[in-house]
Amino acid sequence: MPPDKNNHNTSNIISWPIVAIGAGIGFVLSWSVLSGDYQGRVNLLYLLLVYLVIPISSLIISLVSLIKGDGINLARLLVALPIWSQQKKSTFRKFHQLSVDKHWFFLQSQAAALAFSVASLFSFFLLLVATDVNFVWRSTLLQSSDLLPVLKVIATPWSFWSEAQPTISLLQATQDSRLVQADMNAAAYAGWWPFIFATQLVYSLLPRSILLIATRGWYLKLIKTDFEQQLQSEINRHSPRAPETFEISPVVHQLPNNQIVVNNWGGLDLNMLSILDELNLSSDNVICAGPNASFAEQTVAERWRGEQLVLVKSWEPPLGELADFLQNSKGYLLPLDWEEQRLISPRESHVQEWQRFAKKLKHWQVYVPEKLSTKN
Amino acid sequence: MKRAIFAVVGHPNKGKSSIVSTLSRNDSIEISTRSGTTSHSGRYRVETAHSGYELVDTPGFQRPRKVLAWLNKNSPGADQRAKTIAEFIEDPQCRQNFPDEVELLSPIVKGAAILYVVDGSRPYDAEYDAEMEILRWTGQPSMALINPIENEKHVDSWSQALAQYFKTVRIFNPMEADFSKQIELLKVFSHLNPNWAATLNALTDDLQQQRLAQKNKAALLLARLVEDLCFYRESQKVLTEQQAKVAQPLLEQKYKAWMVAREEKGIRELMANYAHFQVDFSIDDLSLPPDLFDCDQWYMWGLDKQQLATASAVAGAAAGAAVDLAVAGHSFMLGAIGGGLVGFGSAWFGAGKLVDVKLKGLPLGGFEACYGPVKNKNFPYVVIGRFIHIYNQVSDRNHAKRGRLEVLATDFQQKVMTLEKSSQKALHQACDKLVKQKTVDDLANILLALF
Repeated sequence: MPPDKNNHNTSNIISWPIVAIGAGIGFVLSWSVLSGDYQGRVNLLYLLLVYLVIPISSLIISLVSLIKGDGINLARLLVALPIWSQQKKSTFRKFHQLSVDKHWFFLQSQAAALAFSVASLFSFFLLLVATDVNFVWRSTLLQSSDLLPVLKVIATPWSFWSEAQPTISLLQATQDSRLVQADMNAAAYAGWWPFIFATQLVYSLLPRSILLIATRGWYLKLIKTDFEQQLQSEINRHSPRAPETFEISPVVHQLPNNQIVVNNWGGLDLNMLSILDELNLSSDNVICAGPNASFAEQTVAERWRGEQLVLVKSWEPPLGELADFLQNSKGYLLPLDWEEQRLISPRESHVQEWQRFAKKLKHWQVYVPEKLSTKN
Repeated sequence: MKRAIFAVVGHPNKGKSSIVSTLSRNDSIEISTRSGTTSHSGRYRVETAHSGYELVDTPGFQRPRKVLAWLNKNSPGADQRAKTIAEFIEDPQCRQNFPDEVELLSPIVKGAAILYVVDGSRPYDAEYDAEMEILRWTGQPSMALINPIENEKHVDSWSQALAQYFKTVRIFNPMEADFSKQIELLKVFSHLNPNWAATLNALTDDLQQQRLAQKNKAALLLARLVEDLCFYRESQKVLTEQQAKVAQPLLEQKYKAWMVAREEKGIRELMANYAHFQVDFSIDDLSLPPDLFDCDQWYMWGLDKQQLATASAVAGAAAGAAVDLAVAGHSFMLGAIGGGLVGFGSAWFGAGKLVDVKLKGLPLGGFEACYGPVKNKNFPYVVIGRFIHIYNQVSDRNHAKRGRLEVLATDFQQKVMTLEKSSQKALHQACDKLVKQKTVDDLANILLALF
C-alpha cells in the first residue's frame, strides 16, 4: 500500500476552514442586522431575510445541486478559490475520483450553514443580553393585517409556543415610521425575539442539523461501499496461503539382492522391464496383487511375508487399497513410467508422491534404479 | 428456483479441486501435486445476482473395489442399488473402513449431480471401472470430464471407456479453459437435471454480466491509477535554500517509492477484481521495465516518439480548435494549426524530461522543495500500457493456476493505433490533460476502449 498522504479518510469529513467561513459570515451578518440604527431599532423584515430567506434559499440551492448536475453550492465555490494547499486540492481530486465530491460538498454546505446558524444565534443572544434590541417593521404598501397571515404560516411549526406566535396587536404596536414619533412601549418592541429565535431554530438550525447527520452517514456509506474500498477489504481478508511442507522417505537406488519377489501391482507389461537387469522377472518370482489381479492372485500375494518389490504406475497416486496391502508386509516400491512400451524416468513430482507415501509406512522404501533416476 | 449442486468426484490427483477452483473462481481452494489433499468434502457456493449453484470438492476414491464388493454383497437387486448406497454411507463399519468413499458419496446421496473427473494424459485402465460402477449405482445425473493434465494423448480411449458409464462426456482443462469454455460447460450442466435448467441459465447470464462489470471496474481502476500517478508530487517545507537542496534526493526517493507502491496497489486491486487473492506476485518480478522511471525503456510500453508527437499534435489541435470555435472561425483555423504544432514540438523535444523539480520561496518565509508531478507526455501511456498488459493476463487467468503471474508483452502501441479515430483522439486528449494535472471527466470510459 502506498503511504497515501493523498488518501481521504474519515478525518476529512468536515472541512473546518469552510465551517469557520460559514460561522464568520453568520456572525457578521447577524451582528450587522441586529445592531440596527442609533436607537437600536431592527427591521423585522430585514431580519427575516437573514434568518429565514437566506437559510431556506441556500438549502434549496444545495439540495438542487446535490440532485442535479455537478452541483454549484457555497462549498464548491469556496473550493474554487485559490487558497487551498496542494494536499487539500489532492483530497478534493480524490473525492471527485470516488464520485463522492457532490456529497462531500453538500455535507460541507450543511456544516457551513449550521455554523452560520449557530453563529447567528450567538450574536443574537449576545445583543439581546448586552443591548436593547427594538424589533420594528416598516412598509409603504403592507398593513398589519397583510403581514399577519404570512407570519402565522411561518410560525405554524411552533404553534404550541404561544409567546413566539405573531399577533395583530404586536404587529400594530411595532409598526414604525421614520416620520411619525413611535409609541414608547419598549416591552412590545422586545416581544418579537421568541418569534425570531424560533424562526432560526426551525428553518435553519434544525433542518441543517438533520441534513448534516444524514449526509454524514450517507457519505460514509458511499466511501465504504466504493468498489476499490471493497476490493481492499477483500485483499485484507485473504491471508496468503502457507507453503506446503511434508516429510518424505529417501529414494534407494540399490536392491539388497536380485532374488527379491516382484509384485506387479500396477498390472504392467513385464517385457518393458527387461532393461532392468537387477530384477528377476522369471514367472516363479512374480506375484500379482492390486486392481488388476484375480482373486486367487490376490490371495497368494497377501500370504507372502518376505520382502517384495511392488511395481506401481508412477503417475497414479497411492490409494488406500495399496496402503492396506502394504501394512503387513515389507520391501520396496518401484514407481514406473513409460512411453510407447519403453521405460522412461518417472517425474520427480510423482516420485516425491511415493516417497511421501513410503514415509508413512513402517517397512517400505522407494526404489528407483540408477537407469531410471531423474538425477541422471 | 432450485439450487443446483454438483459433486466433483474421481480418482485422487486428477484435478477435481482444480475444476472446483476454476468454476467457482476461488483461488483459496487447496490444490497440490500431493494426493489426498482433500480429505473432507468442501462445499463452494457460486453466488450471482439472480442465481447460484454449489460445487462439492470431494476426496478421491481410495478403496473402490472393496466398496463395490460390499455393495454387491448387500444389494438385493438393481432396483435397490441407490438404497444400498445410502445404507453404505450410514453403516458405522463402512464409515470407519471407507471414510473417503463415505465422504464423497454423501452429497450424491443427498441429491448432488456427479461430475466424474479423469486425466486424459494418462491411459485408461480397468481399475477405474469399480469407481464408475459405484457412481452408476447412485442413479444420480452425471457427466464425465476429461482433464488433459499434461496432454491429450489418451482422450479418445477415455472417451470410449467413459461413454459406457456416462451419457455426457466433455474435455475440460481447468488450467486453460477460458471464460467462454466455462460458460459452455455450465450450459451443459443445465441439461443434466431439467429442474436446474432455469437456475443455471440465469447463472450463465449473470456471469456474463459480471464479466462485463469486472471489465468496467478494471477500466475505473486504471483511471484512478493513472490519475494518481500523474498528479502525485512530494514536497517538503524547509527554512533555508540549502536545506531544500539537501531534501531533494530524499524527496525523489520518497516520490518514486510512492509511485511504485501505488502501481502495485492498483495491480493487486485488479487481481482482486478478478478474485485472484493468492497469486504470488511482486512488481519487481514482472517482465516490466526495470522501473517506472526508466525513460529509455518507456517506448516499449507507451508510444514511440513519432506516435507520441502525433498524439500531442492531435490533443493540441483539439484545444486550438476550441479557441477557433470560440471566436467563430475568425482565427482562420490558426488555433487548431498552432495548437497542433505546439503539441507536436513539445512532445518531440520534451520527451526526455521526466518530472517537475522545483525549489520555491514561500510567501511567509522559508522554502519548499518539490519533486513531481511527472511532466513527460509519454508517462500516462506507459502506465496505461503496463496496466493493460497485466489486465490481459489477470482477466484470463484461471483460479486453479497456482504459479507466479507472468506478464508477457503485447503490442500496446498497435492497440492504440487500431482504436477508432474518435477513441484515439479522446485518449490523446485525456493523456495530454493528465500530464498537465487537469482532471479528465469520464476517464474510465475513454480507457475502456483499450480493454
